[in-house]
Amino acid sequence: MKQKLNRPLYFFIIPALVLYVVFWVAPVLMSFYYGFTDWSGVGDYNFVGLDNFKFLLQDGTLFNALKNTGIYTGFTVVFGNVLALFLASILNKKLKMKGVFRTVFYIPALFSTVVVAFIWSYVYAPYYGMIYSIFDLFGAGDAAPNLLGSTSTALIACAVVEQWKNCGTMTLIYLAGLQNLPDEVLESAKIDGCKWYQEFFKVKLPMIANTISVNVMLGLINGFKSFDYVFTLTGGGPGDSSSTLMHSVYKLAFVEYQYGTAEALAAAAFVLILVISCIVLFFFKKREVEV
Amino acid sequence: MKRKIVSGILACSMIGTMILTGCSGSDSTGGSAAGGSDKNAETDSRFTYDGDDVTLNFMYITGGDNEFYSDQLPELINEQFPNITVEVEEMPTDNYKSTVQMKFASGEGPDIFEWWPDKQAEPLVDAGYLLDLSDLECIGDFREDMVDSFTFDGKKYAVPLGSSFLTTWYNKDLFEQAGITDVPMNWDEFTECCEKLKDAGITPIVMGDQDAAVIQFGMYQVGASCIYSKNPDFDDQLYTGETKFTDDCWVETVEKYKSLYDNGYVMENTLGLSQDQSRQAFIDGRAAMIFDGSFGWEVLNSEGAEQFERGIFMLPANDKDEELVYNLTPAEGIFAGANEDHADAVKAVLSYWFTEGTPLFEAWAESNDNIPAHKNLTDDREMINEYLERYQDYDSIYNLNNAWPNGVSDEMTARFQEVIAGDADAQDVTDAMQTKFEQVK
Repeated sequence: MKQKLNRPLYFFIIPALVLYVVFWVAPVLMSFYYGFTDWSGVGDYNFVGLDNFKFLLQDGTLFNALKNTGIYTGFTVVFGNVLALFLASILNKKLKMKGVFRTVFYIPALFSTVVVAFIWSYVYAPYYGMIYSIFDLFGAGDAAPNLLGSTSTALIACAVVEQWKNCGTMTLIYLAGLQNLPDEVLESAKIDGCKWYQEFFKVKLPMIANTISVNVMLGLINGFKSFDYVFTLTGGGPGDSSSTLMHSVYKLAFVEYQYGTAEALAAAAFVLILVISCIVLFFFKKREVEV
Repeated sequence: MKRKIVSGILACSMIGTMILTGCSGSDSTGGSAAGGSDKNAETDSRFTYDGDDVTLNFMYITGGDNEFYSDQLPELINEQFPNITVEVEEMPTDNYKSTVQMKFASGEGPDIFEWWPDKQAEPLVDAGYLLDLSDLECIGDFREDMVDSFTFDGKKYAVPLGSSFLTTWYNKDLFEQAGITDVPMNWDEFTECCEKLKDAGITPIVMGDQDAAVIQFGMYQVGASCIYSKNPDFDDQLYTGETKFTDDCWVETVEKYKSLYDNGYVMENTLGLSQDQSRQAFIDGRAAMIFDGSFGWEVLNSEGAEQFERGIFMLPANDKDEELVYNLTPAEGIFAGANEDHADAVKAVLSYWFTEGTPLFEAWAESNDNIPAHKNLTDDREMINEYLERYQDYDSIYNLNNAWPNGVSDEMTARFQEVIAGDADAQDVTDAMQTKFEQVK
C-alpha cells in the first residue's frame, strides 16, 4: 500500500534524471567510445581499437600524468588536512578575536582561481616576485628559489597555491566537526588523566573520522581533477614536469587536436579515480565512530 | 466630475502627444530622409545584398586593436547593408582554436572568422568547413605570395590580413655602451655581441620561457638560416620522408639555440618568467635583447623604467660564408564558413571590407597592426621599413610551424624547456619532434 502511494513520486525524479543522463552519463560513455577512434576534432574518424591506450602507455604520457597527479593529490590530501586540522584546533580554543581569525583564514576561498594564480605568479616570479624581494632584502636575491621554473618544484609549487586557497574551507569543516564533539566525553577524558596529545589522537581524532573522510575525499577529488592552477601557473611545464592527468587530457585534445587519444586518457583516468575513491571511502567508512 | 476632469486631461495629453509625435514624426522622417540621403550618399552602390535579413557571426582572436572588430566593423557593415547584422565574438588564442573547431564540428561554425594559414587551415579545408572565396575580386589586390598561404587545390579560402616577422628587439643604448655599432649578420658576429655585452656587465638576452610558446620566437629565427638556406624544401620533404627532424640541420638549430643558455647569454631563471614579465624586463632595460616579433610592437615600444632607443634585427644563425635567411610570415586571414544560406551576404560583406576606398576598408587599414599585404597599402613604421629594406635581398621563410601539423611545435617547446632545465639535450628535442610528427601528420 505504502509502495503504491510513493510510486508517483518517482515521476518527479525523471526531469533531473534525464538531465543527468544527457549531460553527464552520456558524455562519459561517449568518451569511452571516442577513446577507440582516431578523431582529430574535425571531420570523420576511424575505429582504431586499443591503439590510443597502447600509445599512452608507450609514450609515457599516462605514466607521467599519473605520477604527477599522485604527487599532487598526496600533497593536497596530507599537507592540506594536517594544516587544516591544526588551524581548526587553534580556532576551536577560546581565543580573542576568534571571529576575525576565522574570516581571515577563509578569505582566500573567496577569490577566483585566475585571481589567485595571478597573485601567486608574482609571488614566485624571479626578479619581480615576493620571494625574490625577501631574499634580495638580505642581499641574497641570486639565491632565491625559482620554484615554478624548476622541474623538481613546479608541481608542488602549484599544489601549495591550491592548498592556500582551499585550506579555509577544509578548516571550517574540521572546526564544525570539533565543535560537535560532546563535552562530556572530553571532560571524562580529562578526568581520566589524558594528556593533550592523548586526548587529541585517542579521543578527538577517532570521533571526527567522518569529518576527516569528508575532507580526505574532497582533497582526493580536487587532486585528481587538478588542472586550473597547473594550467595558469606553469602550463604543465617546465617540459611535462607539472602536467597532471586533466592537463594532459586538455593538451592532447585542445593543443594537439588528438581527441581520440585524449578521450582514451580521460576514460582511463575516470576508471582509476573511481576505483581509488571507492577504496578510500570504504577504508574511512570502516573507521568512523558514532558520536 | 472628477472622472470627467481626468478623462479631459487624458484626452488633451493624447492629442498633445499625437501632435508632438506627428511633429517629431515629420521631423524624424525629415531627419531620416536627410539621414537616409546622407546614408545613401555614404553607401556604395557597388556593394549590395538583396537577400532576407540575416545575422552573421564573426569571430576573432583577442589582441591588437579590438575596437575595430567590436565596434566599427558591425556598425559600418550595418550602415552599408541594413539587412545584415554582425554579431561579434572574441576569444584568446587557446580557447579560440578549440571553440571554432567545436562549432564547426557541431554544425554551428562562424560565418566569418580569423584563422591561421597553411597547415593550420588545412584540416578545416579538408573537412569542407570553409567557403571558397576565389570569386572575390578584391583578393586580387593582395600580394600573391600571401594569398598563396590561404590557397588549397587552387581555391582561395581567405583574405590575408598582412604579414609579420619574428625578430630580435635590442636596446641600442646598451649596445653602444658595450661598444657594438653594427647589427650582427652572422652567428659569429652575434655571439661576439653577446660576449661584449656580458663583459660590459649587461645581461644580453631575456626570455619568458615559462610560457613555452616564446621558445619558438628564438628557435625559428635560428632555424631559418640553419635549415632553409641549404634546403628550402625541407618541410615538403618531411611529408615524403626525405627529411626528418632528426637531421643534422635541426640538431644544429637546437644546439645553437641551446648554446645561448649554456654560455650564460640568456638571463638566469627564465623558466620562472612569463612572457609579460620578460617583456617588462626588456623595456625596463634589464637585458639588451629579447626574441619576439613585429606583433610585439605596442608592448615593446611602451615606456619602462629606462628610456632607450629600440632596434630590431634578424637573429643570424648562418656561418660567415653562408646566406642568411630571415623570417617573414603571413599573419592570420579572414575566412568564411561554408554556410550556403549566408554565402551571398558573407561575400557582399567581404567585398565591401576589402575593396580599397570603402569606409570599412579605411577603418580596417588604420587599425591593422600587421605589415600590409594589400598592394596599395604601405607601413608607416620607420623601424619596420628599415628592417625589411635591410633584408630585402635575402630569402625569407615563414614561421616554421606553419608547415607542421598541430602538436609538433608544442612538443618542441616542452622538450626545450627540459633542455633549459638541464634534463635533456638537443637530440632529445629533435627525436621527440619526429615522433610527434609521425604520430599526428
